[in-house]
Amino acid sequence: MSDKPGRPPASPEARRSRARRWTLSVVAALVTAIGLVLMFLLAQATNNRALYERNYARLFGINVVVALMLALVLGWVAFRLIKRLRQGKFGSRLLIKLAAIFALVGVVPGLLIYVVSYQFVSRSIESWFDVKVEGALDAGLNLGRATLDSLSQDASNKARAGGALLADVPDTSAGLVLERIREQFGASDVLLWSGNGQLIAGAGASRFQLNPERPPAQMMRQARTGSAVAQIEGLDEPQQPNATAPPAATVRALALVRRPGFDLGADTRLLELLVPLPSAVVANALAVQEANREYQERALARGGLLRMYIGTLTLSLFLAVFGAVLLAVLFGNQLARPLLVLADGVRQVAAGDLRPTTVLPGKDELGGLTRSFALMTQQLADARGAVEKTLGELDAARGNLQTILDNLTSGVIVLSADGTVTSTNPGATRVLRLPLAAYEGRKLAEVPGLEAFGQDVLQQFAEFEVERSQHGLDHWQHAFELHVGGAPDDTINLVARGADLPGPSRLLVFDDISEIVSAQRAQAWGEVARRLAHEIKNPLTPIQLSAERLEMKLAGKLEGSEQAVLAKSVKTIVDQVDAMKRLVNEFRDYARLPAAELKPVDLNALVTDILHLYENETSHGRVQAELDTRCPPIRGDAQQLRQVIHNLLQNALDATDAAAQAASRQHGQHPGAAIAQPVLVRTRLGDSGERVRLTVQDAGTGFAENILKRAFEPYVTTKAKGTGLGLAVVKKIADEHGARIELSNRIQDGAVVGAQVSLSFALLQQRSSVAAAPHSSQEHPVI
Amino acid sequence: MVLCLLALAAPGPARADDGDVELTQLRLLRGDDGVYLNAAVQFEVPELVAEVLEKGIAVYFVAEAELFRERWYWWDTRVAKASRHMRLAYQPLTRRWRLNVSPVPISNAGFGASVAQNFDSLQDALEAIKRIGRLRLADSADVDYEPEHPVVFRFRLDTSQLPRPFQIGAVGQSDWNISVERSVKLPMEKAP
Repeated sequence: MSDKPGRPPASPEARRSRARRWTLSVVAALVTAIGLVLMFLLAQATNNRALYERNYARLFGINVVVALMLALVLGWVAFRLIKRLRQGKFGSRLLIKLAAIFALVGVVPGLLIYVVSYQFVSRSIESWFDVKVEGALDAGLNLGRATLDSLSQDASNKARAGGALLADVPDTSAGLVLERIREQFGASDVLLWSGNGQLIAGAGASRFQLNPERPPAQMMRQARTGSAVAQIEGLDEPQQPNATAPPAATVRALALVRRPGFDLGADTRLLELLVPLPSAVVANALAVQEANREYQERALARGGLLRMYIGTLTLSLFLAVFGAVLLAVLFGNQLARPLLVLADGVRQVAAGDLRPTTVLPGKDELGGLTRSFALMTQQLADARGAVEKTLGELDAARGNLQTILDNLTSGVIVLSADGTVTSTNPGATRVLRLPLAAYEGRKLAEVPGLEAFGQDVLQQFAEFEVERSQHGLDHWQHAFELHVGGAPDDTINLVARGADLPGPSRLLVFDDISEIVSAQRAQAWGEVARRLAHEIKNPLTPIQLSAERLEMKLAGKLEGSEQAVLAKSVKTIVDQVDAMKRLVNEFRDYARLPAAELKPVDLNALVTDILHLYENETSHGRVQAELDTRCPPIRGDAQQLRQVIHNLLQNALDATDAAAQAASRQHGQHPGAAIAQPVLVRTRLGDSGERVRLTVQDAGTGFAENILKRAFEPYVTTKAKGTGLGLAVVKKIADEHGARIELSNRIQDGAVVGAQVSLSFALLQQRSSVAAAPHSSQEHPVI
Repeated sequence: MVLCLLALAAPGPARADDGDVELTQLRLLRGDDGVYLNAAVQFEVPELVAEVLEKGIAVYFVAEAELFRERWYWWDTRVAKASRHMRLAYQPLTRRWRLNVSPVPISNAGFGASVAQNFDSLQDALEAIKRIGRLRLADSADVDYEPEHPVVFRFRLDTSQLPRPFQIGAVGQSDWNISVERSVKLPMEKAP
């Protein structure tokens, strides 16, 4: 039931099953109704003699058939129930229970009534038949019989007397005598028959009949032997039910008429007397006979009667029981259905299926229950939907947050109250250069390299707890300098901020401010340089002039070695002053780098232009250019860019030479033979087509890790005579141009094979305007 | 053909389950005015039936005869059918046995065209019942002159005319089962 995919309001199966159930109900109701009607008829028939005599057997048969049908239906229902129980179908137990209860309720009273009725019927039928009644009826019958016997005896005596009277009367005059006899004996007819059955004479009504009824041959035979016989007639035919008067019964008496002297059989005569019986006697006798007959009939049939009544009763019991059980099953089904629907729904809801449940149309409480349940399920479903929606939104929000966190350059760590790392973001790993995610679940102070930091953070939090209770602060902020790696210079400047999260967690947010610190340092340097340059440059010219004047004034006045000392000292002073001037100028340049004037510049043309100055190196193949002809003009200050390219090329050449010399020293080779990798200048249009990339690659020794990070800071250099300002200037110019600058080591097969600096410049806003002003950089003079 | 079927349905003459009725005589006679059947059966009235009779309750007997004409191509066709209904009752008042004989079923309402006969003893009355003489089947002209005619004869105690309680009681009681059925081919005899 529940495993059907989807739950359409009326699937074909459900409809078929409903139709079947409906048919079954109708058939059952029909059969029950027929059974009841038949039952009624049967009960009626037991009372109504005529009806029951005619139709009892048929009714009984039909009832039996109905009972059989009911039994079949019942058997089928029981079979189905048991099958369902075997299959462990849901609700079959309840159904069987209900059916059993109803059946019990129906069957037990029926059985009780049956038993009582059985007793009653068998007793009462027995009680009808009484010895006294039978004796009375018998006596009545005997009385009637005796009366009739005496009457017939009387008639036969009369006939014999009449016969004596007629003995001497000839046939011709017999009529008068007969008439007299008739009157004397109160007979209705008096007839004289000859021996062979011929009527001789008669008196009474039958005299006028053309052919009066002859007495039965047997009587005549008997009378001829000499004895008078009498026979009662007219009582044989059963009385007509609607006849009011009793039948006219007569006594037929026959006697031999003897002739004195002659005793010849040939001429025997017989006198017949027809004496009517008193109608009251006849009626009563007949009534007694009829009653007796009926009594005897019933007495004999009492077994059948008992069987009939008991059969009717038993059949009624069967019909009632079958009907009751069937109705019990049906009603139980009806009653159980809402419960089953409910239970099924509950099961489904428990399983998490909140689709709408079936609602039964009934108006009773059970139907209402299903409705309420459906409503409840709906509400549950709505609530769950709302929760799911909220959860989805929450998930989305969390996803957003996660994305934000993941892409935050700041490091974020959530700590528990005792300093255990609960969660981190990729920023934290990046900033701290430690796979922090691997340390989740451990204390921050236990992470290798972060011991001091972890302690400090904990301390900060502890102080913050105190502070917060006093001043109501909601966060603390503190700058840390973190030493990572082995090198003493390798430090990360962090600014960390801590706050309490809801619950026992703590939030630690930190930023790598090394670059900011670096920028601040650079700025400070610039200021120092500017001041120093100003202060130092002023005395330099007088020093130089003074030295030259000394040489000029003393040139002719000194001898040999003194002259040589003077010349050498002056030269040293002048040279050193020059060097100092250059140094000061560089400082000044760095500090006073003018603001860039951004104009369209063709980078390729610029590079080509500059490479002219390096013709010597180019021709030796020490410098190579790979220029992307697709490069559109960029926005830039050609003058400053020239300096950038110069600086970078110079650096690259220096690094390559240094590496070559080191290698040749190591391997004992000629310096010139070690030129394996040229310096490569490359321009490229970015893949997105929005930036132009300028890359300078060398084949030097690369940068140490700590230098790499601070290479753009002033006075950071790897060269013995470098001022450390070259890359600082480059960086400054790149910043002016809004260009991204990256410095990295070139790594091949895990070995450092050189370094590369790349700058990516923004294009002109519109490429059409670029096309209109190509080669603008050529207008600028070459440095 | 029907004989075969009848033989199948009621196998063999003088069956034991015929209710102890023996068919002693069965003759087909052609008289001047019609075709008659003479039959005689022999049976003893069981004690139960005798008791019922003594109590004055009427018992009915039926004798039926059917005459067929053979058809080789189809079912035999029935030429004639006749039945004789007999009602035997004892009258306690007159102590006589009365037998009513009628060609149509005798109802309690009236005996109609029945012929009545009185007997002084049960045996006499039964003798009269056991002899079924001159049961008129058909007009002579309606019956072909064949050497043999299929005849079905039935004789039984008609329990359906008994009072219902008796019927209910009588069902399945062998005492009430007085019946015989016989289907034979009879030669047509000339009536004396």
